[in-house]
Amino acid sequence: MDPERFLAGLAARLGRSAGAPPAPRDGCGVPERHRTHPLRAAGPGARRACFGAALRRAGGNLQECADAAALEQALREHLAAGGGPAVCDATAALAGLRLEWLVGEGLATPPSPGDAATWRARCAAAALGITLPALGVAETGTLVHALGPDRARLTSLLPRHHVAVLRESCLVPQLGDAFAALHGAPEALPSATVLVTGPSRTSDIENDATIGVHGPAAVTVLLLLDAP
Amino acid sequence: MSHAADPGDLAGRAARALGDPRLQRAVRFTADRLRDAKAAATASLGGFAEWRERGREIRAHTIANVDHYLRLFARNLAARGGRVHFAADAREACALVTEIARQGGARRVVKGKSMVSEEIGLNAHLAAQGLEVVETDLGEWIVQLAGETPSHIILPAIHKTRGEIQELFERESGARLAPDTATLAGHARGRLRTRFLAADLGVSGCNFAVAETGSVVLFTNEGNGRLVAALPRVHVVLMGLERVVPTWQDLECMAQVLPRSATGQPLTTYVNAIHGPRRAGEADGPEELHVVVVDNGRSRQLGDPEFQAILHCIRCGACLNVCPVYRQIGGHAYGAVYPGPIGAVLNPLLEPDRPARTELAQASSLCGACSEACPVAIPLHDMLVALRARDVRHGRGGPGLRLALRLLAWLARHPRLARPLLRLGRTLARLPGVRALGPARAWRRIHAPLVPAPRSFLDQWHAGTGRDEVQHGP
Repeated sequence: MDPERFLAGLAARLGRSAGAPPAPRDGCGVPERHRTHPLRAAGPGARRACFGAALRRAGGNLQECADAAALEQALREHLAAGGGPAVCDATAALAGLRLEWLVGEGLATPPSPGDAATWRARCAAAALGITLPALGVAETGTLVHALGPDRARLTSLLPRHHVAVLRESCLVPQLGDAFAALHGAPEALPSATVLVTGPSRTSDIENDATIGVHGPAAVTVLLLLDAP
Repeated sequence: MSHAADPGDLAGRAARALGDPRLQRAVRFTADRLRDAKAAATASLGGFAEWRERGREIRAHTIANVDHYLRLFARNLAARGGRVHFAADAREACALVTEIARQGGARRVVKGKSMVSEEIGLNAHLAAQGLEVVETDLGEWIVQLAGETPSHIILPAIHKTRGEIQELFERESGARLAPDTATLAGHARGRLRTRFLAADLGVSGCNFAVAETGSVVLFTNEGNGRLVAALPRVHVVLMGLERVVPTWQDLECMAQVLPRSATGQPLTTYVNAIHGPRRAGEADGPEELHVVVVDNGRSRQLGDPEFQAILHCIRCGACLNVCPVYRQIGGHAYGAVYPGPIGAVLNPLLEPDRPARTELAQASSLCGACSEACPVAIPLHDMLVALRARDVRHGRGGPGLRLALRLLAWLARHPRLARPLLRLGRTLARLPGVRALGPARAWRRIHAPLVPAPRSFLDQWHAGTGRDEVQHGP
């Protein structure tokens, strides 16, 4: 159906003239009290603790890494335990945390934009997917991925184990902070914003909760702590 | 017992459900679990009454200006290469999806959960065009393998036991399986993964469409909704025209309210906000993104003071879990796509000319638990009353009901005649023979007998006996 005719029909039913601006609003967004939540004023320690607790409640694991060396060691352990190949975000994304060695040493494969079929097959065969989310949300234990050329869709989706590396300074208190940071400028919008809170789950069989039904069965967050 | 699209009338289907104790146990267990989880999750948020009022404000404002926000949504998504289509009815929506599939040369379709696709009968339509359609939500796949329909909005397969699921999976694959949850879910993961990798068209629903950026937002737990939107070359989103919200601030409010009300989770495992198709330099994602905005009876509610608010619904299913009728008869007895109180209102409104839909407004005790549970404060029980009134106005209540209501209205206008007549009625109602007649007998089949009080309310009132303490019947 012609879009204009469709929309004009809705406007007519509402007694609005087609193309008219909306009426003024009563309220927008979350209730005001949510914006004065104690978490917003909490220090980094409390924010980190809240993130970890929420992530664990959702079935994920948090490993705090005091410095780059500890982060590298943790990653190498997960790669060794993975029991199969790994895929990761593109080198340009890895550089932000000086993790280019993952690709340099051939330990993980980044997306290959020119060859979608190969990339998809690699992700399907991978045991481990390593991502660098843009942000973490303390109140819900959520990883926020801003997808684009350097951060593909399948990395955090097809492998059984998802390992995300996040700087402590990238933790924001609430969901709204993440939305404001990523969706503020239309021209800077990513291809998709994917929020991940723990492993894939279902209760579709007799209400019995189980994990890893379509997405990863395990989610580990390696949190690189800010220098004290 | 088969739960395929059940023929017969509401009373027949309800009677069949009431004769199935296993179904009743499953429905009640699920409803209790979800209801209690919702109560805990909304309490932990703090001040839920404020959230509910804000949710209502957001939905009311959006729907009152829905043409504006849909236009904004379509313009913003189109600017990033998404294609937005508008369908007046189910036939047009199915034809649009078929045409998109044909142009893309698609043969194999994977589907995420979408109530709108059930509503428009998309699976049957695509199958008739020779396409292979696989539901990938675990519950929906189980229901599809059984040739049935979902029995709950959030958990579609609560009426199946693990033994039945094991049998369905064994028949589909030829494998032998243990009946534990991990084995069955793991088996489904493997079987459906191959389907995902082979599919050329993905179809999903849409929880919210954010107008200010032109984004489609999906709340899911399993991850199949992400796979549907990431693997096939073409992704088609089906959305009811009412799914839009103005801003990301509004989406934040909905993100707090929807998962808590649906499953009692603070947030679903995945929130997938899709801003457009694959861009240059990306290794995955659909090359084409289509959004089909479906009317199919929704726009008729706009401007209707009694029913416009039905479009505020966010499809959380909270009204099902608290409804004494749903808890007894389960989803299939409604015989329509949307079960429970939301279905008792929505199905008649979407298809007002089908008696099988309009009679669903009778599937309620009007207790109001649904309205109370609704996270965006839709007055569902008021709508049920209005629908029943509409039925009678349209002469659908049957001659007996119409006559009785007309008589009652006449009596109310003639109080001098009404009182002696009512007294006579009370005397007659005490005779045992009368209690075996017509409506009284139907009542007696499922209720305790109605015995008139020794003195009627009106008599007590007029005698002035403690106007603040009128005697109750036995």
